[in-house]
Amino acid sequence: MKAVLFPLFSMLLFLNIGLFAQSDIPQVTIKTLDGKNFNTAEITNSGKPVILSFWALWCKPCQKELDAFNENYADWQEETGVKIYAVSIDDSRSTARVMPMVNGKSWEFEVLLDPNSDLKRAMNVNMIPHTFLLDGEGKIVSQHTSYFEGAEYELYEKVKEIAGVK
Amino acid sequence: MRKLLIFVLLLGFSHSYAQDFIDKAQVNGSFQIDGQYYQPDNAIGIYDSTIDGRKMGVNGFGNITYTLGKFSAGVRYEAFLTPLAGFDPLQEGNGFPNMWASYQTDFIGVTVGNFYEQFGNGLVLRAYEEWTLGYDNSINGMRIVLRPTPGITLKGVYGTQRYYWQKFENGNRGIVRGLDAEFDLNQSIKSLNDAPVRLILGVSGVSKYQKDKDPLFNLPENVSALAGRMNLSAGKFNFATEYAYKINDPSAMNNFIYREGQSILSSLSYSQKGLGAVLQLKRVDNMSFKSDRGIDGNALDINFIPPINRTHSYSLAARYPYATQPNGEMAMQFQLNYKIPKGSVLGGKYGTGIALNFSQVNDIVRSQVNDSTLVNTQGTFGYNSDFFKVSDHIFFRDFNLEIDKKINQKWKAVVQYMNLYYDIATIEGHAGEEAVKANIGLVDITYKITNRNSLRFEMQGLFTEQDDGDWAAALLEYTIAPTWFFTIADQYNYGNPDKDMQQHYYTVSVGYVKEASRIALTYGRQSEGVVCVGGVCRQVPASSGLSITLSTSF
Amino acid sequence: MLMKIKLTIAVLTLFTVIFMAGCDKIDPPYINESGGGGGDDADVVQKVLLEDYTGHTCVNCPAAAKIASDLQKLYGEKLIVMAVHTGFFADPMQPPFDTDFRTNTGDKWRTDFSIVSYPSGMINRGLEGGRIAGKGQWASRVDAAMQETAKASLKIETNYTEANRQLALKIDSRFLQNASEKYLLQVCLVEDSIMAPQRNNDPSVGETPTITEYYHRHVLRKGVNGVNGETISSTSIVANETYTHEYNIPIDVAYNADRCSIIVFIYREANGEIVQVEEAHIK
Repeated sequence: MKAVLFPLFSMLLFLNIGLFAQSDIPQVTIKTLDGKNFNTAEITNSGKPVILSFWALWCKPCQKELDAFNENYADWQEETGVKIYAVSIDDSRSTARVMPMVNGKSWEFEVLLDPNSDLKRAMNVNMIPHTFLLDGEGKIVSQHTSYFEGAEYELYEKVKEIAGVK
Repeated sequence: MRKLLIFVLLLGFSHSYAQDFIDKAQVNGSFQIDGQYYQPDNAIGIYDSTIDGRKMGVNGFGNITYTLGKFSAGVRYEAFLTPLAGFDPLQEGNGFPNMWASYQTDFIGVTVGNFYEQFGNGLVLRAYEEWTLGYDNSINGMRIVLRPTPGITLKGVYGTQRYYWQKFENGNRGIVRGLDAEFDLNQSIKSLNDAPVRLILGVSGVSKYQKDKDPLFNLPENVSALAGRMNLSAGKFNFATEYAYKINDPSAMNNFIYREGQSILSSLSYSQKGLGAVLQLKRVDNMSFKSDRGIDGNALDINFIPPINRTHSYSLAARYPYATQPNGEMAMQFQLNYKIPKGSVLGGKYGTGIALNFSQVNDIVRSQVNDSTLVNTQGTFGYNSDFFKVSDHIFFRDFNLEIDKKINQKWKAVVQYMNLYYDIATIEGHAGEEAVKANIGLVDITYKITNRNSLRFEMQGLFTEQDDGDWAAALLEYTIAPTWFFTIADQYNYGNPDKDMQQHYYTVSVGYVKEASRIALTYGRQSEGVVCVGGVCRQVPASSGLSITLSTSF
Repeated sequence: MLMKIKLTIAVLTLFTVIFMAGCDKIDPPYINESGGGGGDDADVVQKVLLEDYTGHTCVNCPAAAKIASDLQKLYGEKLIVMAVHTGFFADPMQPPFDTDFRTNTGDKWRTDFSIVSYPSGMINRGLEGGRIAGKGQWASRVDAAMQETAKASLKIETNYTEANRQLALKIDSRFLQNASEKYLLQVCLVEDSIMAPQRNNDPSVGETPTITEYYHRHVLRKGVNGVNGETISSTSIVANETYTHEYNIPIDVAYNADRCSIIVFIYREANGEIVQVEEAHIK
């Protein structure tokens, strides 16, 4: 039974991929830095683009990426109104160190905690850093894994495109 | 179970119109393949016989999720043919280990099939998956989440855990059931919504049922664990604590002793812009909790006791990773992050980041229950232990200081120093071996050639008299953002007491990234080591050959 | 709202009932004095082979050996234990760990059965619940294997000549039912209670980190008829017919003949499962 049904089911899904609209972010309950529940439906920016980036304390390239975002954040916000959410997938061995680190680095953007990788799984993130770009309606317009020095410029070009800024 | 799942899937479809099923639905997924082609390399102890005709290892998975409004369903496929070196041979196989369907509203969420879950910090329940370790203790069963009023969350779970490819049948492992309630005072009471002091309370209980088929011992068939937690924040301070208690649970992990288990994890932090500090304390006593009492490997854990020391990212700094000793430990950890402001003498134009971290883990003190019974004798109560006493047996200590500095538009640097004490006899089971005392230093320099082209250079040194002796490592990486990377690296064990093992472990890698897809090829040698993620570690044998990683999400 | 509260209470009650059922506090004594028994009273008794894959630098192995010996106390002659020294932890090292208990037979089995962690065990090489069993699973798996109905019987006759250290062996295998599938006979020489150092990390079993005067029990010394044994009969097996195999083997002067015994087992070629096992002292 299982042997027949599930490959069929999967095939059905594959055939349909082309027809599907752009994706919303899945609704998952994660945490804010002070332990409050946070529903990912609240990730919005009143018609302006959103950058959603997965990171962790043990991931050096992730921190380099967020440092780069942070450096440009004030300018980017002024020009396009973009909002950044950084989702930490640190689990309970290091969640306590996230807030001191975020403040210690003076990061200006929103930081959320996904301690059991619920959002990471729901968004099919295999490796971090993994960054999503959402348009004003909260639809995922592009995504990118890995961070290399300078990749933030490429991302910002896309942000400007969505925001309609030249 | 499977039939039920199919039924729910069909139910989900029939409730929506056929047109909606295609138009309004979303399909997401991801794939990954990690493969390695092995070759013999006599100099580092890999012979034809070690490879044993197994020329290749391939681990792969695929996830597909289908979402239609409040309904979603998914499958996960995995194949380990054959598993990569260092993975458990029980991984070998292929099929669909996970299938699930779920319905979520603001008030209720129901999931049937395989799911992941965590109560609080995970001290009594955590089901999770870690691909790089081949670890997956997902629960196959049912979960209900209720949010009756703002600020109150209730969860109930019921099921059996994944054990590689082995099906649950004839009670071959335990059944897990759990309840969790969380109460956010400020969200519940309107007038406190924006109060400066915030309080969140939580309680959870987990029980496992496993039949006693043991002819030697009279074993408890139902074992329960309870935990309570609190998170209090006031202004710049945050205090969080969780305490867990477990009744008698004799198992292969604790050598079949009947003592109860307990664990406490507390943290106090202070942070303001530019400064953050956290102090954490932990005590663990006989807290291994598995859904099969007979298992002593890295599988079927119901709970998760987090190691709280820093997880290092640079290769030599990460060479001696610590894993929680669930049978007993006392741990503390302190971290200070400070950013020297822009424009000051030390801060320069961009500011300077400083991170200081210290952690130490000691054993707990155990005493005999009576004169005639040695500590930890199987089939006895085990031992007595004073809650506040710390043994002078140190398992692990790590002091590290990291400075990162952007010098100008072109140059960036990270410098790190680390002093380590690592009781290899306890942590890796190498009885009789002297504890490793090491000093580690590293620099990581990035030079931006243009906006998109960068060079990164890493130089590391590990200096120790013990284990494999001194190491040096260097790495050069060239990246073209956001798509290409080229890396050459070498680790050189020049201080190995065995002259023949003073080897170079060189690698050459090239990678290509486009959107959410990544392909990386690496050729070279991999030194023997331990990879830990979470509390779980995996011994990775030395290997030589070509490896490939291919990953994509959509 | 009322509906929500009702539903919440219903679900909560359900879970609490389920949950409260689950709490067994055990009071001493924790250990059962008299153990489980076998499933059959007939002339043919099902015996069980516990193979203990071990090594002299494996720190958790003495605790496993203790479980094996406790189980032998419980089941007497019905449980046969064989310690197979193989893999990384059995490699000869710097003195005092320079003894070598490895065998070609044991090394072959290690790769055949993909044994990578130590201690590991197999109980009649049974597949039910996974072939490889951690030491914590041994007791329940041995008990389950004891309940099986015997399919065959084994008889070993030994005739040892001290003067030339020659051992003559006559092994009679008899099946209780006709069988068309293939069965193999494996004959092994084991030596008991060899004193040599052993690494240990369990203080309740002995000194840590090294037990200098450790008695290694039931050590596999060699496979008498090849690493995988030999076929019992080239034709279909007939019920109650006796198949006889004879061997003449020298006993190495390094071995203490007083402590040597022969372990013989019959296994199915199809899945490797052992159907019967027997042990006899050579003297």
